[in-house]
Amino acid sequence: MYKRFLYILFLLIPLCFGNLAYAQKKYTIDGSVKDAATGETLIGATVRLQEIQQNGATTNNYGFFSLTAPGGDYTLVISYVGYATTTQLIKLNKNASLNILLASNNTLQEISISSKAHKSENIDNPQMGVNRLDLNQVNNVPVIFGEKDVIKTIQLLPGVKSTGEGNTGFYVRGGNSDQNLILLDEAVVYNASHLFGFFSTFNSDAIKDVALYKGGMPAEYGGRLSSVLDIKMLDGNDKKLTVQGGIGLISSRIKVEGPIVADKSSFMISARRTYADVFLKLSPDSSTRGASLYFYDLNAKFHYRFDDKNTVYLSGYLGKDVLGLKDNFATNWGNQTGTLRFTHIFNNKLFLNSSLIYSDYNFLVESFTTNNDFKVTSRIRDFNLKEDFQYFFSDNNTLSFGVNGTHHTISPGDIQSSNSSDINPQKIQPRYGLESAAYVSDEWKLGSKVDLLYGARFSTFSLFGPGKFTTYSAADVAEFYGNYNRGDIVKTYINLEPRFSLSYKLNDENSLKASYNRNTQNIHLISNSTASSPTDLYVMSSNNIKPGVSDQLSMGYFKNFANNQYEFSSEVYYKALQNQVDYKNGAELIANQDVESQLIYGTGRAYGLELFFKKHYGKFNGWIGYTLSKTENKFDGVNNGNYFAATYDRTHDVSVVGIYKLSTRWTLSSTFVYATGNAVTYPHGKYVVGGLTTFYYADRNTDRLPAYSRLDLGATLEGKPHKHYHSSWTFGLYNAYNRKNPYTITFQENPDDPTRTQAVKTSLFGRIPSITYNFNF
Amino acid sequence: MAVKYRLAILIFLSLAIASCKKVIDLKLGNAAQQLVIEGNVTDQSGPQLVTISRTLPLDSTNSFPAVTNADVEIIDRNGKVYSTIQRSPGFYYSTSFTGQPNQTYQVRAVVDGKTYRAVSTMPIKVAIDSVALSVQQIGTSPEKTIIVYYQDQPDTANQYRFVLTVNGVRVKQIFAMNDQFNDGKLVQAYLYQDDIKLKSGDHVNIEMQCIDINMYTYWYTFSQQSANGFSSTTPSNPASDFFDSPPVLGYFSAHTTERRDIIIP
Repeated sequence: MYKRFLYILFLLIPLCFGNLAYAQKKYTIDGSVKDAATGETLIGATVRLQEIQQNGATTNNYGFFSLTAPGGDYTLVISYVGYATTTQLIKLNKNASLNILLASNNTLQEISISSKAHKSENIDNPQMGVNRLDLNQVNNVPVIFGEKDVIKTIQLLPGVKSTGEGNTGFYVRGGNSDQNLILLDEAVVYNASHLFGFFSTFNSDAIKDVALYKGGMPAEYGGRLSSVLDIKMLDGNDKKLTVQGGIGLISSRIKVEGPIVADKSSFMISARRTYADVFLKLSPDSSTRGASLYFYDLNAKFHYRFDDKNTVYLSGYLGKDVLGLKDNFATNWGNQTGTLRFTHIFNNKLFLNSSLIYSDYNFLVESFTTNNDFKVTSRIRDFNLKEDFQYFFSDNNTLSFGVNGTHHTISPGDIQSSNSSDINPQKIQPRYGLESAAYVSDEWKLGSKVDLLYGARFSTFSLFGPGKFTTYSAADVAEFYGNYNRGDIVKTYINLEPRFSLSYKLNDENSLKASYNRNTQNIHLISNSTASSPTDLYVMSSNNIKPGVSDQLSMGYFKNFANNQYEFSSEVYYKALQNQVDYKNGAELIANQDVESQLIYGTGRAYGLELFFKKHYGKFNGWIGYTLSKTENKFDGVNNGNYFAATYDRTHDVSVVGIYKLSTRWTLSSTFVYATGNAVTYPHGKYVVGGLTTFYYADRNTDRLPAYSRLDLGATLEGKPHKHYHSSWTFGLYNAYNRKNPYTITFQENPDDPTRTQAVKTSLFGRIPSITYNFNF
Repeated sequence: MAVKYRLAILIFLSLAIASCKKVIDLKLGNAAQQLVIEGNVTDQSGPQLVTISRTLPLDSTNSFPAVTNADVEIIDRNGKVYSTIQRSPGFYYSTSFTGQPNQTYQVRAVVDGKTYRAVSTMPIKVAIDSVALSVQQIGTSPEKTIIVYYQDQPDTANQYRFVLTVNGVRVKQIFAMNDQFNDGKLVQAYLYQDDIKLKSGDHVNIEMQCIDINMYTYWYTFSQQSANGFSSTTPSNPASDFFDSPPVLGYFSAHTTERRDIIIP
């Protein structure tokens, strides 16, 4: 099947050249589209010639576009959501480079969208299963404690589920939360949450663009099974120095950005810190005063544009959670990422992005108790080199290709202790792996109706020595030991991942799409909890663990109407997952050299229907999402080897987001969510052992938590216009009707009658008001 | 170690979140009734006890049905059979003997024509060195925790279970420990629990058992079940050490035992 696929691929490429050869004399316009006020490049802006219906280009992830057309006089139309569409008359008689500036609607203080010109990307593009977040909308969506959060907003999209109150873990089309490729300026972020998942690591002040791919992943992405969340940081304002900040109930944030050399070079630094522990200091109790509980984030970016063809970017992220009790214990964990990126335009048709990426996640648990002191450290660290090319063959054909190699080091939990401690020091052998990939992907417009996006990703993974590697039999008996030297290959896996998407445009407002894609995953998260926990353990594919494989087939109907003001889509998907990893009952995961003996393997399947209705702009905008789905897993020895519902299998999932601009100063917003309760395992009987009443459990996850629902309200009051600064107040009310959603349900003896059992529901958050003051100057 | 981490989460939750608890009505499924066998052989001289009962639906009162028609015997490594007498319904006492360390014992129970068997090996005894009380100021009130000191045997895998009884009431927390992180050390075992808050004057009985590896997995799985919901695992029945038998709950454990009585100062 692969062979045949490759054959077709090679057959098609010459066809595209053929197109060129017979065409009349054509010229190419290339360039970038930027925000007029800040100089930020705009991703996904459309550039088209009004005179040619099918002709059009979209700026790529780096703001670059290339458009080819026969010579002549044209009107160039450039549009982008949230920006005023501009037109430019051009005489096309030679190749040209253009830098186009678009003015934001916010700057204009009015909604003026020439809707006819606004290209309907979701109709024309074969890419399906993608959601691009409009950050202006994100900033208006009410969230807990007033901390605006891209991941919380993503959870409001169809096909994306959360597991519970306040948790930033998300589950896309039946995939587990570790199967999302979360990228911040192309660097993998391993633990995208703060404080056990109540907040995400992404400070939305520093973010330019957020795209979520739920299906039909482009071939440039790989390494995770379920989704790609591609987050790009702001490059920094290269026109003028600005300061922006906010003071909230539990955190404050500040961002400074500005030019270093006007129009050539800029910087951006953004910081956020929570201060729950400041309130602890007010406590009369000394141990509470000694407690620490906070997190911080630091984002920074710098860019320098040598000329129109060469730009270098350097960006980094540093975040940490600190939690501790004086003289007792301390724990901290965090991510660090760094990206050095270079974009080069060879000519008006060939574009290169070259990146060197560093990514690190580590955690530390330290105990100070006398005679029981210890320090556990764990780390995962990646170095990644990536080359991405884009070749704009012709006005109907764009080829993307590239290579990348990532070196992983996982040090899963070393223990240090003093001589007087009752804990032995222990060193667990680190593991080294190399993940390499090459991909090619082609977007080809066949006439005015059919658009094809096809390609493949060829990926390899090798696990290297040094170290002792044990192979376990199915019965988890150590069967074989191997000692490997530095650089010896322990195991290699090779995978070919076909990616294919097709759109068929019925007319300007309706299209049908289908896609198939295969993804593989070599970094597996072994977690014994549904909350994000710093002790979650990462393991690589190995002599015992095979790479996870997912095959997803999806189809959809897309419709835009009222001049693209409204968008409707309906998608169905089926996903099959292989080589899923779970752990055995009673497994010890922390600092365990033999952790692979504690694992069990299985398969999964997920299918569903997603409906999405969105109003893009206007006084009132927002969306409604609905998902009907089923997600099941199958593991040997669980439920007699039958399929059982995954914890995050929520049959019905509804989200409604509404934003209403009441006046020039007031904006009101609201979200409502409703979802079937998580699948859980309740006791189905009781018995007595060891003198205690004990619960008897039947099959796994056959019960349901009560349904979840919540209404959040928000309001933003813009300050009176002022010459030098701008301010606003954000008010929020989380869980407005104070619903006590279940966080857990536990069973216990009835205190009034110990011979009886009762169920106790624990809810985390009631109604929570919040207020934030924002400023910029 | 995991305990320490869980403690961190508990503190975080209590500080950061005003969580709310409420008793609710749930419609629960009822599984078919299961057989429960619980057998212990200790290093104390006297009759050894095997109890046999059945499960109950969750909504019924805790009068667990005793199984009175069983034939139960305990067999040692040399094939010596200790028969049992049912002294009260479901309670089968063997003839008097003292369990020996390093000895493997087998229990054999025949219930309704089906045979259930399990084996367990009594580990070498590790004695209690001493017992202490830790007082920590967490929140506004002192948190008192029992500490047991013992000298772990070097270079062998040891597993322990502790049972606390406060003023005659069994503490529900299950304490299962092994020497994965403290092989050969003088171990300071904190018996953290949130079931019964210890106060001055409380009479506390501490039992330390040295258990075999299957029983460690059994009790450890149990302790995971009762973990707080925040980091909880999907609950499941601990794997019983009965083999070549029809499905049965419970366990058979040959273990050493040592007790200390203290009064909380």
